Amino acid sequence: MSLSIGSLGTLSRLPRLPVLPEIQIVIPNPFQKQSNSTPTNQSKTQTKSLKEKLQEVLDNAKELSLIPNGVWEGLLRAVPKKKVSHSRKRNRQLTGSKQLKLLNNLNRCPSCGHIKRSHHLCMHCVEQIRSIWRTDAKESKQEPYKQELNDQDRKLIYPGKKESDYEKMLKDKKNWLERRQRTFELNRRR
Amino acid sequence: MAAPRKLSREVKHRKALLKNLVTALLEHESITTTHAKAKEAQRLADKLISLTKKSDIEQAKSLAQSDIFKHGEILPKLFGGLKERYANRAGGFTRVLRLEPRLGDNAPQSILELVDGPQEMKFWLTARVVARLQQQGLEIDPLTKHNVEQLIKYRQNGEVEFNQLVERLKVEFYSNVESFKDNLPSEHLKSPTEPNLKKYIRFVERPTK
Repeated sequence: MSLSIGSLGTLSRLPRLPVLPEIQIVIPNPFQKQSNSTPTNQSKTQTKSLKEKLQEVLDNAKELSLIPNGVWEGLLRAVPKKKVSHSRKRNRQLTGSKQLKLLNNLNRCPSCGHIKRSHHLCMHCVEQIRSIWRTDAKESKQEPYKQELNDQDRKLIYPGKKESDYEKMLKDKKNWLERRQRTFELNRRR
Repeated sequence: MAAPRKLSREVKHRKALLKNLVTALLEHESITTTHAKAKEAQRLADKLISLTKKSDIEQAKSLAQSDIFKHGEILPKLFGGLKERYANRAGGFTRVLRLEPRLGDNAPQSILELVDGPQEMKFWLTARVVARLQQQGLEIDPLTKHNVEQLIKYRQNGEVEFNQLVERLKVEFYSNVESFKDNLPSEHLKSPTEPNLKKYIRFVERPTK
């Protein structure tokens, strides 16, 4: 008995476990009618607030998460197993067929004296002759009928067109259009 | 004869393409395309023009119709003006001139043109060379001489036209003699008729039996 009493006494002397708080979760009743007026407005505000809350939660989660996002992306995607070595890469990029080749079939344009490919026409001379043809065609065309109008009438009937910046940029062809470069002059032998 | 190019197209597509090219050529007298297309269109165009030399014109017209679009415009031109122009020629009604490769995709380009046309590129370029040589007071080299002869040969009123063009191009390009006189010495102009052969190569006549 003494033992039992003693045991009881020891029990009373042991430190007490802290009391856990009571669980209090309020589950909203979905079937309960909303008594407030203007339900549409409220629903809007509710969705907004929900969105914001979700955003906050997500932001916090990013900060809190121990593993950064980039690691997962790397693990999940296919990647090359080994680094391509310098020599291997250079060998691939500079194989014989991909290198620039020397031109041995060069010649001299008989009309302008610049370098050209043999058995090919000199593009500069061809372009000059074409420009002559273009001017000839313009001259041979009849001038279109022009209406005689006052300045005021012209403004009313033909108010003109407003060009956007993009259209203006397109018209400025000198800045963006790729043009053929003139070939070099042949260095004279001395 | 080499097999015709397929131009990476199916039969119908290829035929339509060549028809388009040939109609454009006969309409405008010269076109600029890739070299392969120009060569294929040249075959067809030569065939079409040689059709006009047939004795049975009705049959020739019906044959020509299958290779041409815009029948109303081009058939009368083919069997009228072009037939007259090439009456003396037996063949070689078209010419392909190589150009520099295209800027965007580096495709080899060339001009396909009808011979003896009003705006013939070779005619104008040789006239330009002759104008330059005359303006410099130099002799005309054998290659250009040969070219001029070939260009004038079957052209109606060819020599007069050529000389007029030479005079015009003198004014257009070489009016200021001093600006280009140093730039263009004639000694570096080489022609294939006088090849620059290696010294140790010697030509021997074929022995007779």
